Amino acid sequence: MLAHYRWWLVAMQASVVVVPLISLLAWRGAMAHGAEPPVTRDYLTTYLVLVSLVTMLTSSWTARFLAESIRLGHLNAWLVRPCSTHLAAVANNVAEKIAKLVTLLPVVVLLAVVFHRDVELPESPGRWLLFGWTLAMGGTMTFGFDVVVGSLAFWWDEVAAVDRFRQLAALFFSGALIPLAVMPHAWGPFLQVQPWGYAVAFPIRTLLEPDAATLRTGLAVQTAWVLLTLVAARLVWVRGLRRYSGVGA
Amino acid sequence: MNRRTVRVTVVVWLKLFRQAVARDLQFRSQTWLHLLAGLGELIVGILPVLILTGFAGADPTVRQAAVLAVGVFAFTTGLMDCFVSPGLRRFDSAIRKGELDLALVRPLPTFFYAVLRWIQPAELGRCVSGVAIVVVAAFTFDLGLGPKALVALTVWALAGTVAYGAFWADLALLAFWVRSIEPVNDLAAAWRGAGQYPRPFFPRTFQVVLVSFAPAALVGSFPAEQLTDPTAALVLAPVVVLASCALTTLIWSRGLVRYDSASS
Amino acid sequence: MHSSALGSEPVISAQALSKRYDVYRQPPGLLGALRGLVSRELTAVHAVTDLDLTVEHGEIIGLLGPNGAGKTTIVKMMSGLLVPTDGRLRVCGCRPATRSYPFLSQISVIFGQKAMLWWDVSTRESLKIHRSMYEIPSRRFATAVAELGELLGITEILDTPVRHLSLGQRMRCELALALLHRPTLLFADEPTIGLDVQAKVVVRHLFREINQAFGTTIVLTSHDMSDVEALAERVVIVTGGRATFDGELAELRTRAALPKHAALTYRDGRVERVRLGDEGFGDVVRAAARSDGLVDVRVVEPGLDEVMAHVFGEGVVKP
Repeated sequence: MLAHYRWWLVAMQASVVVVPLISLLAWRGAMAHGAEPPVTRDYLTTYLVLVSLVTMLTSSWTARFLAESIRLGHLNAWLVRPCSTHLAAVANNVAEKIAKLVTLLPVVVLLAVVFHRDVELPESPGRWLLFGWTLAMGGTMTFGFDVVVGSLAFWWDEVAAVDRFRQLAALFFSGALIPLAVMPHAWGPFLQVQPWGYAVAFPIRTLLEPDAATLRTGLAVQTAWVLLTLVAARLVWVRGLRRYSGVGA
Repeated sequence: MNRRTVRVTVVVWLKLFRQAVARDLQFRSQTWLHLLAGLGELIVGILPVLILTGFAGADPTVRQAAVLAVGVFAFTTGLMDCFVSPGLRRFDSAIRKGELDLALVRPLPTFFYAVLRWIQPAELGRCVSGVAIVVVAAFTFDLGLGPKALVALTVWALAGTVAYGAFWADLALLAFWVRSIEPVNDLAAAWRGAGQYPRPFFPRTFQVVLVSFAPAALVGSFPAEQLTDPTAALVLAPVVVLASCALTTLIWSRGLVRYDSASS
Repeated sequence: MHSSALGSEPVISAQALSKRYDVYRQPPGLLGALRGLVSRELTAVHAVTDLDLTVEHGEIIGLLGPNGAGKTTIVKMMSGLLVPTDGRLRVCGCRPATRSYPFLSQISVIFGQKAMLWWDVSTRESLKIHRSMYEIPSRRFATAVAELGELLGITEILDTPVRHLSLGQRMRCELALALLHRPTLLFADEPTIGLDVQAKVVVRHLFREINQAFGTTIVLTSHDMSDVEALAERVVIVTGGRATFDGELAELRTRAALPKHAALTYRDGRVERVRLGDEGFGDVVRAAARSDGLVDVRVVEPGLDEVMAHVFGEGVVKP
């Protein structure tokens, strides 16, 4: 169905690429004007070329639709079926990412070609496998968060504002706008433990960071956050279902 | 457009604005939350710029330009997100679901009724923040602003708001030709972020694009530059406004001819 | 009530009206969808073909037809929403496609499934916006609001936010909004959809009232035959984009030539329906009276639903 909306796909991917592109040009321009961030130009360029792809692959948009289903009673059709109520959301999430990849990948490859002199990617397949794994974990964690936020609709009428705040925090602290490595040094301890960084910044770091110890620690923290969000999602969902009244169905 | 139409349009718009304010006051908690979220978006938008310019070395003018740009950006985007972007974001849906019909049968300019009747007053909070940022920056950096600079800033900020609003509308109006183009709104919102960064940071070609075809610089960095160095002739501002509105009008009239309202 | 005063232009005058759409064909299946990303096939759909229609001031006409017949396309061309591909069309003395103020201020359109009211504010607020839009003087506005409030039974809910109203209440408020400026011509596209029986009666009563009191011409499209029977003196049947019948309901029934039935009620509660065909009514009654217990006999005309189903199924009404 998504393939019928080709321009929707193109526009969506263009909007995803524009933010890191602007950021990339601005940072490179600033460095040309004498700015000295704590990372190299190669690091910055590679990071910002990859970030739109990673952001897309680990994204989730379930919260809004889930909240709407709960509010309007659309859950009923799923609750009477012998399968998980989140099955459709997971399938939609994966399918949409595949479709988006078709349109986004060429754009990212083009960016990589334009800035090829400053893009440095590892050759070891092990690194790429690790990258894939952290992407999957990051996506799972984001989906878990979405289910938690969407499930708040069991208690509150209006979840949109909460979701908006959450999206803002995720946008900034995930590293989708700028690398976490350039943020003020004092924020370091917080940035290392907060969950959103493990959706975008950490997967990219698996390709850029040579330090195995740092990567091992990062993997452990990411795994912990994934488990925590899945458990929280399950708890909130089960509690919420007890309150569900199916109004409007 | 005749005098009657202009008069009625203005009267209806004022009533719609009053209605929107009354509606927002009705949903107090939601309005406060959206106000705070709007400020949050502003902060999230500003921080990368401030972090970037924090590394900019010894040149203090870069930081000044950046802070002024974010202040002007907050003001112009607050205006846009209050009066223009809510309607543009709904436009694709209006085309696909045939809701444009409801605008077409009204004795008012259809573009006005379809796009400009959706108003979100809570976004004006960002305008206030933007003005505050500019004022604080002016005092902090001891800019000594004269009336000429302030007039140049205000005129270009307003012209930039209209020009970028028109550019955004041009993208949204693609809905007349393309089935489901709603993400162009996110594209337009993302692109205007370039206006927060000092213009000299961008490559030359990009700078030209940012003040012409896709005028993101006109909603932030360009008007801010007029504050410290009012070089651009003010007479160009209405030219920019007229040119952008003329293009939007052309696209709109072509699009309406194509419009085959969705079956009920 | 309708009048065709000598020399006055009809409210609607359409000659050889046609509308063609160009539509992209969707290839089936996933492979077809992926292929569709790069290339698609364009086909022409003839929604309306050579339609001739004249409607005089004060008429109430029913525009009927099966789904996809072209009724909504016709209404949209007449209300200026679509530009005809061919033919000549004048409505309220204007070319609808120009969407001029004199034209738009004389018409009103009710789309049964599309809301005109602002969701988060009261109906009165929406009425005030419309007052400015149609430049209704304040005294006339107050009178119109009072009259419509009473006719539609919505005076008590005029200040309630629309989102708190039931569907029936919302529909009645939508009608008030549509009729505030006393249009010369009203297009009502499925106006009673989703309403309960009582609300439908209110809406029909309102349409009759405004037709009689103000001479408002009404073009009604509805799948509810009770609406049509209650309101329309004249029906135009549209099938496959063409007008296949234009006349009175009684004439339509005659032309459909569906047989009547005799309903025979017996003392034990049984009701028997006997088709009246070659056997006359008298013969049927005499035969039934021989059996014990006959208490009532009635002639039952075919329902309008039945007539329409027959007409739509046949495609063409027999002369």
